[in-house]
Amino acid sequence: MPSAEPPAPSAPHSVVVRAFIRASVLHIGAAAAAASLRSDLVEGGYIDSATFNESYAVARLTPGTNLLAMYTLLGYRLSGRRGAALALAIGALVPALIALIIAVVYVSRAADPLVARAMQGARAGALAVLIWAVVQLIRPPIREHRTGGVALAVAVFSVALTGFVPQIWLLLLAGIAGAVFFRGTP
Amino acid sequence: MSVWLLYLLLLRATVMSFSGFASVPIVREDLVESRSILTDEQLNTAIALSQASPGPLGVYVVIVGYFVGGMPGAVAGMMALVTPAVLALPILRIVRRGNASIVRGASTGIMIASSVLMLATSAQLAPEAIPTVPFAVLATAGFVALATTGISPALVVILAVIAGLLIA
Repeated sequence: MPSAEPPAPSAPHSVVVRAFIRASVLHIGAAAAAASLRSDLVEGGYIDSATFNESYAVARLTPGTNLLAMYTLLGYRLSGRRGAALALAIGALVPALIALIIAVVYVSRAADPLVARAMQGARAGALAVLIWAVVQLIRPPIREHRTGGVALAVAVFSVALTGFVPQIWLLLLAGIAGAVFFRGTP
Repeated sequence: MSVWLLYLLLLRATVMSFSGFASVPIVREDLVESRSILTDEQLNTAIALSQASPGPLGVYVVIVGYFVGGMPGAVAGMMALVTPAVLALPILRIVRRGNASIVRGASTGIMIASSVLMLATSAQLAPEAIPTVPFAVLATAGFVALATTGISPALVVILAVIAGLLIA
């Protein structure tokens, strides 16, 4: 396993900037961006495959957007804390700016009936994507913990139906239950 | 609403999720249901627009921030998107100390719960996203395409935009 501390900077900042801009601008979603980074950093000889895989695995355990956690870890391995900050800034800023431009343009045109119809279609499509994301998210843990996973899902659904427990508390309690009952998984 | 409070509310959602859209239920509960400063239509729109942007799916919180608080709100959204990633380095150390199983167990529990809550939220968003039968058919077709082919979610949304223009 690679050491806990970052090595001496193994890549110049220009490499970090180039690799993360490519991953952020040219790809939608985590899988494609991760593949781009692997190609640039591992095959480019700046980072070894074990370190890349470890960063990917730890990012999956980090709250929030996994892709940004992976950027942070890879930037850290490449160039210490400055590399981490740089990678995170690029990974968040570039997509956020593009999303913001799209939102501003949409708001300025929202009253146009043509735009309204297009957006109604987009919202229907986005609902499909959201439900698909649920399927993608729940399948691996349920496969891994069939009985316990289903029991937890049913319990959360039942409590959520009552509306008496804020969702943040449901998530916290599910996290505690997971740490207690699902921790034995290798 | 102050930008600081908006940041904290969005951060609460992002820090309790393990994927881009898993924060949607808490965002909806806080901003749509409790405070009424965002509508279901705006939330749906933010999710749809984020599909047209490269990068992580969670970037929709930046658009939510923009809808609620203009440019300062967008900055709050971006900071809420970025902040949890800082936890990656301490978690790396925890994992290397041999406590990976606890972290993995907790994240598994949260993933299952957030999936269930996302499903419930999808049901709440559905009346606004699919107001008529043709749009319901469109959403169903999109889901089936995602489930049975390797089509990109972004392409599904783009095709849905075209279909939306054709549906009178």
